Order: sequence, then C-alpha cells, then structure tokens
Amino acid sequence: MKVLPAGQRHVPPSVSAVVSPLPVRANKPPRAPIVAYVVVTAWVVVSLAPVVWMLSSSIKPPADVFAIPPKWFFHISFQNYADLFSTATGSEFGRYITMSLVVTLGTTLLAMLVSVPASYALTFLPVKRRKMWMSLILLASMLPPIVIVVPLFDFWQRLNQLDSPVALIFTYAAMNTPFTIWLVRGFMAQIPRELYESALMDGATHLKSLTRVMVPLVRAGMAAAAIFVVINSWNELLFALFLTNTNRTAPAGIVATLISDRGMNWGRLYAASTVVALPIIVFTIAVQRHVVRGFTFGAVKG
Amino acid sequence: MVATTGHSPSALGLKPGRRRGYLVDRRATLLFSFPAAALLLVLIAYPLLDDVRLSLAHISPSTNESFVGVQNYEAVLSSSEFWNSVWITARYTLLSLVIELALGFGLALLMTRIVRGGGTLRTLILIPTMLTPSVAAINFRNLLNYDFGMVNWFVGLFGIAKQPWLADSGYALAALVLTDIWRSTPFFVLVLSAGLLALSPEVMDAAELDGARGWQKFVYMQVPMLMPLILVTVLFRVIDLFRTFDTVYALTNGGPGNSTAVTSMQIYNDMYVGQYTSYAATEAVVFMALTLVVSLFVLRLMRSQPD
Repeated sequence: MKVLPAGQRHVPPSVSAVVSPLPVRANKPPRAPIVAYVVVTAWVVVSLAPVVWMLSSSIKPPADVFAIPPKWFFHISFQNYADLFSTATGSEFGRYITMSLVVTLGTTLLAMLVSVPASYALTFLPVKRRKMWMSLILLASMLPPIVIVVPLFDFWQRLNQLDSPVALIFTYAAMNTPFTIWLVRGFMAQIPRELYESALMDGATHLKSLTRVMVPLVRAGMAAAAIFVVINSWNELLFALFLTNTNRTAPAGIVATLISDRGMNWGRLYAASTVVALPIIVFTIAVQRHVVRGFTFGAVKG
Repeated sequence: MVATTGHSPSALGLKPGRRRGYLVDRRATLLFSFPAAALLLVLIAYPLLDDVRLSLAHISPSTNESFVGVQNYEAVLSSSEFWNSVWITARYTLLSLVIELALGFGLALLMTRIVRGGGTLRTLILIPTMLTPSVAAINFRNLLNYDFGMVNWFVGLFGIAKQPWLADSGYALAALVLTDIWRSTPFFVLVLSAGLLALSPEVMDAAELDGARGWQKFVYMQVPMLMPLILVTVLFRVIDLFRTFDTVYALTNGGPGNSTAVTSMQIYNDMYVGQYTSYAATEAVVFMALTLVVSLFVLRLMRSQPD
C-alpha cells in the first residue's frame, strides 16, 4: 500500500530537533493494545446495536415487535417475511425488489459500457482540453441530484417512460458515470504508455487495444467502479421517488409507504429493511478488498 | 504522435509502420467518448440548462409566462426560508464532519495497534456504512419513537423522562447529525487507517529512535504526511453532506416545522407543495451555484497542498 506521494516529502525537519536531547529508548516494549481493543470493540458493539435490533425484530412474532420493555427471548417467527411477500396482505414488496434488481443490474452494465471507452479516450487518445474535461467530469460527480429532478421529470414524462425501469437506469447511469470515468481513468493512467503504443504498433485497432490490452490491466479499477455503481443504485432514493409511482424500487417503496401510512406495520417494516440491507451488506463484505481504493478516489492504493 | 519509423518488426510478425494516423485516433476519440458524452449531455447538462430556463420564466399551475427576468431570483434570494435551509445544511455539514474526523482519526490510530482480529474488527466497523441510508434512517426513526422507541425505554432505565427526540427542533438536528456520525465515521476509519499503515515504517521508526513521543509523531508526522489523504476524504464528505437528502427525508422529513429542512429537502418541499415550478428551479440554480463554490474551494485547497 502506498499513500499519495505528495505527502511523503513533507516530513518536517523539526521532529528530530525537538526531541534529540532525550536518551534513545531502545527496546521499549510495545504497549499492550488492550485499550485499543476495548475502545474499538465498544464502538463496534454500540454501532451494531441498531442493526442487530433490526434483524432480531424482523424475526419476532408481529405481536412482540412493539413490546416495551423489549422481549429479549421470543419464538423465532418468519411471519413478518411471509406477510411482506404475500400479496394477500396488499404488500407489493416482491415487485419492488424485482424492480431494484433490474435497475441495479441495468445501471451497472450501462455505466460501465459507456465509461470504460471514455476513460480510454481520455487517457490515451488525443483529446483537446483534456484537463478542462476532467475538471468538468469531477464537478459533475459532485452535483446535488435535487437540482436536476424537475427537468428530468418533464423529460421522462415526454418520453412516456415515467414509472419504468428505463428512466431510472439511464438517470442513475448518468449520475454515476462521471465518477466511474474518473476512477477507471485513474487506473489507466498508470499503465505505461509504451504498452498502448506497442499494441497499436502490432496492428491492433483501438477497439482491440481497449478490450484485449487495457481492460485486463484495469480489472481492479473496473471492479471498484462497478461495485460503487451497484451500491449507489441499490440505495438510491430521490430519483426513485420522483420518477416512479407504482413500480417503486425497494427503498422508495418502503419510505413512501412509511411516510404516507402512519399505521405501517413495524414488523413488516423491519423485515423489508432487512431484505434491502442484508444483500448489500453481504455483497460489500464479499468485495471489500476492491473497495478501499475506489472509495478514496484512488488516493489509497491497495 | 508516435513516429512509425525505426521500430523493429513486432513480435507478431506484422510489418511495422501500420500505425494509423492522427485521423484514425480522432475518429476513435469521438466514437469512444460519444456514449458517455451523450448520456451526460442529455441527462445532466440539458436539465441544468432547463433549470436556468425555468428560473427565468414563471411557470406554475396558474400561469405560464416564458420570460419574467430575475423576478424569481429576487424571490428566492430574499426568502428567509431558503437561507435558513442553507444555514441548516452548513451546520449539519460542519458538525458531522468535525466529529467524524476526530472520532475517525482516533479509532484509526487505535486500529493500527490492533494486529490480531484487525481484519474482522474492520469489517464489523464498516457495516453501518454499508446499510442503505434511507433504511438506516427509518430504523433510527423507530428507535427514537416517543412511545415505542428503544431509546426512550433505555433512558427510562436511568430514571430520565421520555424525550420527544424527533419532535423537538434541537434534538431533531442532533439526531440527524448522530445518524450521519454513526454511518460515516467508519469511512474515515477505513481511509485513515489504510493511510496510517502505508506511512513508511522506516520514517516512523527513525522518529521513535529519535525519541519522538506519541503526540509528537501525530502532530509533526502523521497529520502532515496524511494531509493530502485527509483533504480528499473531507472533500468527499463535504460534498456528500451538502447534498444530503435520503437521511433527512426518511428520518425527520425536514421537521418539526422546518428545523431540519436542509436545502435539498427544502427544494423538494417547495417543488411538491410550497411553491411553483419556476421557484423551485430557481432554488436549484442557486443551490447549484453554492455547491460549485464549495467544490471549487475544496479543489483549490487540495491543489495548494505542498508537493
């Protein structure tokens, strides 16, 4: 691992000047990290309590969910889940989850398909005002989604695509593309230019140079970018609230039901929360090692 | 451009000199950038311009005038509700950021001392970050519920009366900040502990041999050496906090009153109920400009780092 080289030459000379008169404490035994373990474990316990609460409440019998004081021991019941997915209860959650899956997969594919070639162009090909484009792309990735919601609603309405996965897939892809371009380009920029030149020298077309030479070399970056898009589109709320009405994604479905209906069944709500949250937690843990660099704009190289 | 002469024949046995010219490169540039450019132009740039068009018009359920000058800007810029939402956003952003950075750095320093079980602990620490924000906020909403919430039950064990956590304007903003601290501190831990581990061990050992104490290492070495990383992380978080919507929408819906209506929430409310379309579009343009100022400021800060 390596931190930005920028910092490394920035060791202030004052350190040794300040402390040099002290005797060198050789063989100082490393302090037992007991304090570290205690504090970190305490943080973990407290911060996981709400998650554990959500999971355990989702498997309580519906009558016990509201119990005060809380019932620590209860018969495990999957009634909440059964209600959640049964259409007899009027729950539409099954449809919401399907919509979430379709939108997440579609967005990820589309975002990667458009951003990888663009990264290639911005890295290797002659682009006028490359720096300006990169800055614009970076600024676009910081755009607050709320500011484009009104025009986008009109736009998709005119195309008759409201309440369809198409509107969400294209909108999400557009919102994620600036970051994925930035990230994948960061990885490509580290490939020695000679590789690009020798590929072309060997008679490869740009398309071959991209797919056969560059893509295999930036797989890690593409994985980080794709993971980022999966997480973002699975979690997205604002556009889903605006651009869909009956074909909700799961987060929008849950939140809209909650806001509109004060009497929402908490047990079912916990079950729905679990169904939304658990897959993405498991997914993120599974791909964790790809994530660090992606989440830090490539600032930490892993 | 690459000179095509003077290269030895390639390994594939193709003749050298098949390197295509500048025009081929230009065409590839256009083809490769086109999909991304089209997507961004149609779904990002066009809506932004449309905002500007709407902000200069007066479009509402009752009127439809296509140009009214800066009338909407006068209305938005003199609206105390709008500036109040900016003030709430600023407080929310700064409070969350400062606390998260301090806690995150502290935990990251502790994490570097943990060898056995470090990987597992790190994964566990990160779980709140992985939760869908709106879902997490809904769960906090239940935990903070006045009648049935676990928090009121818990403080009750210590003889403290039930508190209206989400119905009191002071508590509600604190609850928002707390939710974000819970969710985002792990992000700082992740980044900073990776950064700390990557600091050259030789330099750290040398400092220790010179007798540098823990706090001296921290102030004179770890913080300056990690400064670029800290700035990038802070930039990330500032932008994210500045445009927060999910958590507010699901936790407090901007209430009670307007006390937690960050700017995104305020614009959302104005769009749906409070105001007319052109007014909301004008707010969007102003918010965009504010975001741009913040982004450019932080970008400059990053560039001004000595390297």
